[in-house]
Amino acid sequence: MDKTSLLKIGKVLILSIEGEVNDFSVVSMQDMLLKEVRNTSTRGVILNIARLEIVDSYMARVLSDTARMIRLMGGITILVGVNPMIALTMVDMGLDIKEVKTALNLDAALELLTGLTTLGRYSEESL
Amino acid sequence: MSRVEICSEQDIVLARQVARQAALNLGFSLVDQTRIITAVSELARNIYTYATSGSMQAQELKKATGIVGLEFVFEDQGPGIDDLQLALTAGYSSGQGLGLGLSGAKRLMDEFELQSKLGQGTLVRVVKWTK
Repeated sequence: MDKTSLLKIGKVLILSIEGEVNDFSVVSMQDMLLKEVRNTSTRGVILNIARLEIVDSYMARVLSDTARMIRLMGGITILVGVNPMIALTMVDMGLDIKEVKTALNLDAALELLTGLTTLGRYSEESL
Repeated sequence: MSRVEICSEQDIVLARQVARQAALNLGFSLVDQTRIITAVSELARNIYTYATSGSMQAQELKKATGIVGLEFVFEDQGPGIDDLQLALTAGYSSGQGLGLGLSGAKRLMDEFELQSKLGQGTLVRVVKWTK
């Protein structure tokens, strides 16, 4: 069955989606994540799909919807762990999730988030 | 040959598991396994979303040349598709999806056949060859 883990490091939430997720559990995952973003005043969310077997059009839509919802709430989402097979298949199908920033791995995502949130703070201050 | 009845979200997961095992048994590359499982996921979800219930039948095929392949037949007695051409257009959806399910599955597999009559149901047959 599906396993998901939610980790919090500073102001960053890391959601790892693993294994055999069905459509219903993907949506409840999204729900739980959004609540957690609100409750913990998270600035950045990393969606880790390194252990996910496939990304079909439904999963692609849920991922990009989630990123858009988090953006509306004031956060930034970064997708990590897209393996070569998934990347190839998504391109074959014509699937793209342009709304979501991506990074090669967790380290790169954390670095990117630190940069983005720092930039965000500077621009807020300069207003 | 294995058959999966599709009438719940969990059955889409089951269809993927059957597809993965079959693709693994035939020695498909990791990329082709991913393509096959993704196409099966799209087509199984189409049944659940549009027809509520139906079935998937998987079987191994062998060409005279010895090349083996996997065939999946998805069948339902749902509402059927009015305009097959339109349904296969990337980006078109009559439902809530991205409109890439049918066209995506077609692009991922080697053979794709779609038969449908309004009010009578839909049959989709896809094949992937090991080359």
